[in-house]
Amino acid sequence: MYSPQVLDHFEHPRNAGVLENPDAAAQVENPACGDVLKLTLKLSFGQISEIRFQVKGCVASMACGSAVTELALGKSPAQARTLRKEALLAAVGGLPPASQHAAQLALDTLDAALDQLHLRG
Amino acid sequence: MHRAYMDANATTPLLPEVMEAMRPFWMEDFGNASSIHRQGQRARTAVDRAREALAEFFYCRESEVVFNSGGTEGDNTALFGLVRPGDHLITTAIEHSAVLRAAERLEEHGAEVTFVPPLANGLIDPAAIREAIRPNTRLISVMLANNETGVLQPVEEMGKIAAETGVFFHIDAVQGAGKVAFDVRRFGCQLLSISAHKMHGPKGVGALYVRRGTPLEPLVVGGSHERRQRAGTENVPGIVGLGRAAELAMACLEDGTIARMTGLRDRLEKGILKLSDTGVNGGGAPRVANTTNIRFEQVEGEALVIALDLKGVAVSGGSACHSGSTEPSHVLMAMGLDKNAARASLRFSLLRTATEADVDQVLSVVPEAVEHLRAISPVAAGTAG
Ligand SMILES: Cc1ncc(COP(=O)(O)O)c(C=O)c1O
Repeated sequence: MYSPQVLDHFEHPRNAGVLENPDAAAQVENPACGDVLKLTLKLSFGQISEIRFQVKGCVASMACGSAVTELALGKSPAQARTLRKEALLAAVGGLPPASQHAAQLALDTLDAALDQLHLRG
Repeated sequence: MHRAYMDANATTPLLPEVMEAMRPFWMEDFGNASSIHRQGQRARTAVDRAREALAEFFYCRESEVVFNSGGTEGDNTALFGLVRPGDHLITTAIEHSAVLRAAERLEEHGAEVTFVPPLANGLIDPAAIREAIRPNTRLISVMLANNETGVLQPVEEMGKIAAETGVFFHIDAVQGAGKVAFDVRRFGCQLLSISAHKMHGPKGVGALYVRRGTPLEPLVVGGSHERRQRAGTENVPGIVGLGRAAELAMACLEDGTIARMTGLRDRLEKGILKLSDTGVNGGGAPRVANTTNIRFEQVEGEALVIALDLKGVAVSGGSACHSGSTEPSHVLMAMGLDKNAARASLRFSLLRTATEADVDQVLSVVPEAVEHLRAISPVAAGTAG
């Protein structure tokens, strides 16, 4: 049912945890299913130099949280903004139709974190 | 890797004796039980023998056993076969979808339906059934054992209420078969459905007990099979398998198997409850021996099911037909759990053949899997916000 990539992220999450004194932190809940994703990140020289995720949710949400940190790491906030759902889905080897919301949750949370950087100027 | 199958309430494997009993009826003894030649006679004899076994299993007459395609058909037949527009049906909020969806269909067609909610421990209070009775109440339909929690309903008391008030009584006994002794007279029901695949028999076959004289309209019409109660060429291998499974189920009720399963289930439950923030749903009520439904606070049940599967333990969250959907269990919600608690709950249901090694395996992998999921959760780690 889940791709090998999803299961790999699920069993071996990348960048799990929470950063102290982050430059941006965002937590978003998917109201439909109750999944919660939290991202914290730090910038250095205009790039996302550190990023961590925490999640309470289904396997797909965990995999997307893990994968989105890999995709965002090393990017400038502007580059990270352009991350598309297709790229995230490709990174996890696709999701079952019922689990597509997990990719949206990951991107919404990343956006919310990037919004904070913008607000701070 | 040793795999521990803890999802018997979803389905069970054939016991070897069942497989052996069925084997001749696919190729050698393939006859149609309605044919009068030799092949047909052999099939008929086999179906008759299975009917004898089921009559003993239900504790009824052979003429009161109707073979069908399983629990869903039995439940549908009971409801659609008795309740007409304008009639009132009493059922419960924790039934299997085979009853719930049929009840909703009846509502759409002009029947009235009351869905009695359970108490917090998962029990349906017989007094609530009595209070729900109206002058036009035609049928009460209640499950014997709940598929998610294993909670056993006080069907005998409900049967007395039905008899006193002149209302028909159907029991969905699918999850009770092979776990508690049946006696349809003592239960006080006119109808009772079972399914072979929940009791180490084959899938797609079951039986409905229909008390003599019950004005049940058949769901499936056509030929005159099953005393015109259920048309269609008999599934001879399936019926033979059900018959053998029923014989073995009766034996296991008397040979200490149930006590052994209770011991395994209780050890599993106690071991898991050592983890913090866990609890048993329906733990305060009488339950079948093989089932426990455990809440792991701050964990998403679906993620835990997959984590355990990767470690060789098969369990399910909620009921099997709900996995993959985002709906929390209607049974646990009806018992008063909130969405998060319902979604944090898993069902462990043991096969009759479960071993100490199976329980050891579960206990060796559950703590690590739960800790892994909690460690990564912003809610459990207390860093939310
Ligand atoms: C309580 C209950 N009733 C009915 C059914 C449906 O039985 P079947 O799968 O044979 O259609 C099930 C199976 O999940 C069940 O647990």
